[in-house]
Amino acid sequence: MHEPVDLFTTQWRLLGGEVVLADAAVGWSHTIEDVLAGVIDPAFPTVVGFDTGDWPKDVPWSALCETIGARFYDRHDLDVLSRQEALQDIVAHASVGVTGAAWAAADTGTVALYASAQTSLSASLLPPTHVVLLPKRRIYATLAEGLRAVHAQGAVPHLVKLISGPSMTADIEGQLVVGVHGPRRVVTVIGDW
Amino acid sequence: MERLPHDPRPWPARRDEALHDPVLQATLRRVTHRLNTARIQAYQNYPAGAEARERAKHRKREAVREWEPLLAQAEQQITAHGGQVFRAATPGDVGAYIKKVAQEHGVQRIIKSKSMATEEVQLNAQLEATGFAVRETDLGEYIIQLAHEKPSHILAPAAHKNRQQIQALFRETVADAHDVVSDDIPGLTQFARQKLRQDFLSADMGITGGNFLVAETGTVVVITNEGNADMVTTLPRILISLVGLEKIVQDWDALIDIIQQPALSGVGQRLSSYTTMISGPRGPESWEGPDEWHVVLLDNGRQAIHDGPYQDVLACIRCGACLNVCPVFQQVGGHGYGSVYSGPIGTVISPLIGGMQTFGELPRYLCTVCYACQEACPMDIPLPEQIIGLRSQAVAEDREPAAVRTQYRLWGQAWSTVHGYRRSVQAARIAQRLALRHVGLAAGWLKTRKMPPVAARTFLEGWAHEQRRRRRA
Ligand code: SF4
Repeated sequence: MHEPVDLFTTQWRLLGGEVVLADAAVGWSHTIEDVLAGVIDPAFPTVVGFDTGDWPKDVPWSALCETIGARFYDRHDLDVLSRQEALQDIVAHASVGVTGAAWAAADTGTVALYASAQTSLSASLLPPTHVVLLPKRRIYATLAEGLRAVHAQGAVPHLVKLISGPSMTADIEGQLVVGVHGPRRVVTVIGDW
Repeated sequence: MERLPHDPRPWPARRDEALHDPVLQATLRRVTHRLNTARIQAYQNYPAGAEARERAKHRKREAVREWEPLLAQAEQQITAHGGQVFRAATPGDVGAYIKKVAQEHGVQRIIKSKSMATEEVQLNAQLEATGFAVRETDLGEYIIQLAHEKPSHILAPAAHKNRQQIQALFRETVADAHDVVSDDIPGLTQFARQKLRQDFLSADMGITGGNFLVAETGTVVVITNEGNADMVTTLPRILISLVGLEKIVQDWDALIDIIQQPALSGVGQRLSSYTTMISGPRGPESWEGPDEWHVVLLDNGRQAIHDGPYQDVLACIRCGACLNVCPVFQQVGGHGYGSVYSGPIGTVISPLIGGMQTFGELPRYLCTVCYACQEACPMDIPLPEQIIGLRSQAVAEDREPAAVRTQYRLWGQAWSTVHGYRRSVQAARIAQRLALRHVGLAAGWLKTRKMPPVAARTFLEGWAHEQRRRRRA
């Protein structure tokens, strides 16, 4: 019997996604800094992130991004702009978008995001890299369990997005290419925070 | 306006063009083979998917059978969440409604994700005729939109083009395309990404299709691999979802059973890269999603199919599995069918939606009755039986020339007895020796086919000879 974390890792990688298993002993901030340093594009030194309340606490996002030469924008920074400006001027030019996840499913290698006042789906869509901070306890063994949870809360959120690996296409000669519209790289950081 | 667009060229012209196109032949072979193998492996390695399919197929049939109360429930749910529902009887109704919404909101730019229903109602042509700029954003659809062509595969619309042709197309039709220096596939994809990005960010209206509509919650589910439907549903302020009546499923549990089937059967993945579920417009507290959401429920002949003998075909989830296994599709591709719906599923629904007059030739000529589609279909739709039913109808309604009918009748009579069949083999041997390749039925048949030589002695003849020899010995 697989642990959901192991099965999720296998499936997500199979789909072309990346997994980083974070260790509390190393410190969440350290791991996150490493991950961001690995994916930041110096030509677009911007990171946008939307905390749904389930991120590890006490990560100094702005300072951490500064050390890797990037600027960090969160929901509050973007709220002063119009939605259109925020999307066009900031999110569309960021090289990394960071989100949490409502849940994940191991058997299909899927991460679920809900649009809400706190989360922005655009951070998972416009930048070339999407980093998902996923607490271990949110991983279900199967997609069916995760989907049941969507409905169990009563009303279904107005916009739910299931992501299973990077954006891809096989529209030219059947050859698989990643990163057609959405992100090319999807990195899931899994930890016990 | 016609119910379903069609290619006015006659079938032999479409057929020969496809058979003589080496690019099409090579690409079709590769794409269909890859998708077939992936489908078979996906179910083998994932018993849960196969079990869900069994449940899904029953529930989907039930949902189609009792669709009226379910559609009413979906409508009530969508309205309760702040969405708006419009029932469109014809392609013209769809166009008129969307134009009205667009005009009311001062829309200028429209982006679309892939939807066969919008191809069916020729939505782009309808909107462009009124001056709206419409951009297809699925890579394959973008390519064929630039080329002014129709999709050649329901999942891979540009499956008939190779990289060199696409590079040339970009250079000819897209501004600033001189940076398309190479014909490598990732490079072409990146070029399209950049171009379409601008369209995504500046669009006022988005249009999607829908894979499923959940009655219980009023949710429209849209599945893509590229992520373009996510852009379309997240970014523009007005969203339209065009959904065929047959997309209805009862409840959330029914959705759970069916949601993986299009990817499992279509591309051999457990789930497509992106699944978007829309249940209403953006609330005041939310940052993303449309301000207004309109669901257009498309009839266009579906109610009539529902009330007739071919109701089961409405359980189709448009996975494309039947196309990939079909020997006719593998040879002629989507364009051979002259309809946006191709392959076995297209052979059934094109005449049902667009009329026997125009599409009767599909069930008549484009099926070998090999039953491969029946075996591949995740919804167990009896496609071959339906094709045979439509074939009889087509033949009864629209007669072949008398000479052709007489030849088929004589052929049928001859082969209905063992002796007749054996004599025909002897006759074929003589005809072959005399090089009689250009008379009667054989004339058209052999234009694009090779006639295998008739054996000097067939197996049956050899067997009979052997029996006689043994008896003598
Ligand atoms: S008829 Fe069956 S196999 Fe063909 S597209 Fe529909 S569901 Fe798939």
